[in-house]
Amino acid sequence: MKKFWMFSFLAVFGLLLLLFFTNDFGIMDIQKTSFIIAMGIDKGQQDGTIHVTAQVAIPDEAEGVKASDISVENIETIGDAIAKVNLKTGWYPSLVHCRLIILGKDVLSTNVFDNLNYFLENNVVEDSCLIATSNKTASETLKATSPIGEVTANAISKVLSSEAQKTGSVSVSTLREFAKTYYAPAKSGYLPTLDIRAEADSASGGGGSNTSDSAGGSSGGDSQSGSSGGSGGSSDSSSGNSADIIDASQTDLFYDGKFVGRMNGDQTLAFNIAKTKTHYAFANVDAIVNGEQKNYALKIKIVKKLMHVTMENGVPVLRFTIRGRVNIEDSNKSTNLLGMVQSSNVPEAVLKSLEEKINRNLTEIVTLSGQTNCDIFEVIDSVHKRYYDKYKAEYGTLLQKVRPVFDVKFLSSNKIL
Amino acid sequence: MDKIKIRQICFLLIGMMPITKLLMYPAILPYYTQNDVLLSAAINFILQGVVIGFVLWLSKRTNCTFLQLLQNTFGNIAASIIYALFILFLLLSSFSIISEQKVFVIHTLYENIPSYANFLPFFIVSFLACSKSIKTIGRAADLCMPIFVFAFLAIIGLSLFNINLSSILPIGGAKSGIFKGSLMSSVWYTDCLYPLFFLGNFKYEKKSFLKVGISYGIGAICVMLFLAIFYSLYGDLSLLRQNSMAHIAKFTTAFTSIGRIDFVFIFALTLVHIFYSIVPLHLAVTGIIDIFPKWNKLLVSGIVNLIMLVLVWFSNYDYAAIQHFYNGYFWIFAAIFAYILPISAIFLKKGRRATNEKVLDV
Repeated sequence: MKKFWMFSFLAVFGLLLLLFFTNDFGIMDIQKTSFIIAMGIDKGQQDGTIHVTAQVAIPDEAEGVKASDISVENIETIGDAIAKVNLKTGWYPSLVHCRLIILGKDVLSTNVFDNLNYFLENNVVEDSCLIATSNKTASETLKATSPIGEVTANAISKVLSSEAQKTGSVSVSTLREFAKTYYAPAKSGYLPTLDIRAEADSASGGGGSNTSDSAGGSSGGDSQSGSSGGSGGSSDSSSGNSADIIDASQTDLFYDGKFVGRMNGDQTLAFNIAKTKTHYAFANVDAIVNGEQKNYALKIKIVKKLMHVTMENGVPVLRFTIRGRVNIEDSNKSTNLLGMVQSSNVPEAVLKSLEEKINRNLTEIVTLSGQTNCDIFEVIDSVHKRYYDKYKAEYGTLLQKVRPVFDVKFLSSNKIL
Repeated sequence: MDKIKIRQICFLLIGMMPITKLLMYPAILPYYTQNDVLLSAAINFILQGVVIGFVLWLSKRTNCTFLQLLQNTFGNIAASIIYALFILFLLLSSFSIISEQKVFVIHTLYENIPSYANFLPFFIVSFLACSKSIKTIGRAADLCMPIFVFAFLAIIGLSLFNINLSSILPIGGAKSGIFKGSLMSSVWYTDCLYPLFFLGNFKYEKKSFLKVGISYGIGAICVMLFLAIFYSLYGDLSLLRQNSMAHIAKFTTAFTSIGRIDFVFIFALTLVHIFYSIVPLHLAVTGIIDIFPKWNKLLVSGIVNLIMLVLVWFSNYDYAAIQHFYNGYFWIFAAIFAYILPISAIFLKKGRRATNEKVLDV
């Protein structure tokens, strides 16, 4: 009898343990639901309102992933937008799969954290959710058509992936990183800018898998657009059958949550080489080699990067130490066979040109930082941490006084550093 | 005597004591201390260490249990009343720990809000554990220590790629906030009371002081390492990232393609948390039986766990209010029952020393 009770007890315990740990009974059938995979935030037509676009992925057994955009216009908060989607569709959207937030060009002049705080406070999206700005409205951006037929949000996420960051072409920022720097003493941050251009022709005649025809302008109204199959679909009406190129090589600078300036592609590359998790970078430089001007495409392996701030006579000195190995990937003038084989033997003039280019761009960023108050190199934070007294005394003018010092050295990959 | 080995107390301090400080504590502490989380935590650990030191010193001089010491000094009735107050304190502190665990499990392991029944298994385990002898705690420590060490090192390892430890600078900027943080944190620092309840159940061995001290130090370092890394990851955003254990290791890009691998280790740590949450309940049930030896332990365990279950159910959506109370006022109770009175216990009459007791197998 005792064994029976013990067995019963263990059986019930095991069953309840399943409830406790697995949530198997609460699992949704993935084929019968849909997920928000990206959100776009634009300025609403009425003052103080916003226009929220949610890109919804609908898993489909037959056709792969379908997607559609749901727009909620002229609402005041993101939370309100989510509630409105629920009201109109009867489906309460989960944002747990939302991997991308796009800020339209019109909301950048206001403090973007008026809206982003919803995601931070409620912890509804992953902290690794990507954030980007756009040179168009967010709703237009989410209608862009991928040349390879992907759902737009996924195509953009690939452009902003950590792999893109490693190559230095994009300065990727996540919700956590952007918010952390905003809530730091310098209140600064940066986001990649999505430049959507209808430049690529789609061989299949419209490769985008998501469509949208949200009816703008209806005050307080919502709209929901149709969807199409995994590889089909038509693109934005403005671009006809052409697909769109998504370029994120520029970077927007923020101070106090507002857009204050933009780094171009070269500056973004230099910034990534100096500061972010970029290990390999690709750069083009002009150099005169053997009396002939050539343009070289270089592959750079960053072996060391260090930024250090010291206070010298009340002036913050920002020291950049960068070491890298360089290979020639290509040049615009033909070379002999031996030159092609010896791509790791980079001429000194090319290396010099690359160093000058990086130094010049970093100097421009430091100047831009001073002009915009955006502490992109975290100088204020460094002074706050290490020279607290000086930070209190000179907080307002620190960025304008920054003196950059460069110790940037590149070597041919066939030489020892 | 010797129901708990010194080894098991050491394991408890290394592998279980840190666990309650890895959920809400790292997120709430910066509200008071800003970046000075380590200084504030260090104050709490030093205070706890002093209490544990005094209790060990006491254990060297007597084989009596805490209740016996009270009885030697105050007589049976007064001793029972004082002891009962300690039991109430244990239940009060365990309520916060269990509520915290419930919130963690609900928010971290479930996509949708689970039903009331989903937290029932915890109390079934607790009921079973509390109805057993105090040896259960020692065995749980033996079991949990390797699990904790493995899982803790894993999540710390996974988080190291994204941190910038300079975030905890400048040191000392929060000033009075550091002490405020220590006060409000008292709800997570009641572990020092447990060795007092182990008195008479373990035998002071040679170098016990050193062994326990080192173990406690390792446990404290684990917590402080976690605090430093968590603050480095989130900065002032830490305030918004409760259930810290689930947020510290999720940025490892190497595992992006295969998902949240860190959840394997979070599950393991949750298991350790379950066992450690039972410790104060167990001590409370054992304490009640000490006062009323003729009562049925199974029944007492059932009633205590049922009361806690009902309280947890009734406070299902009130965690913020519970936390507010504990952060604001619990330090008063903690100061008396977890710090002042345990240290004062060295003045209790030691009475007779139990000798030549048979050593029980553990």
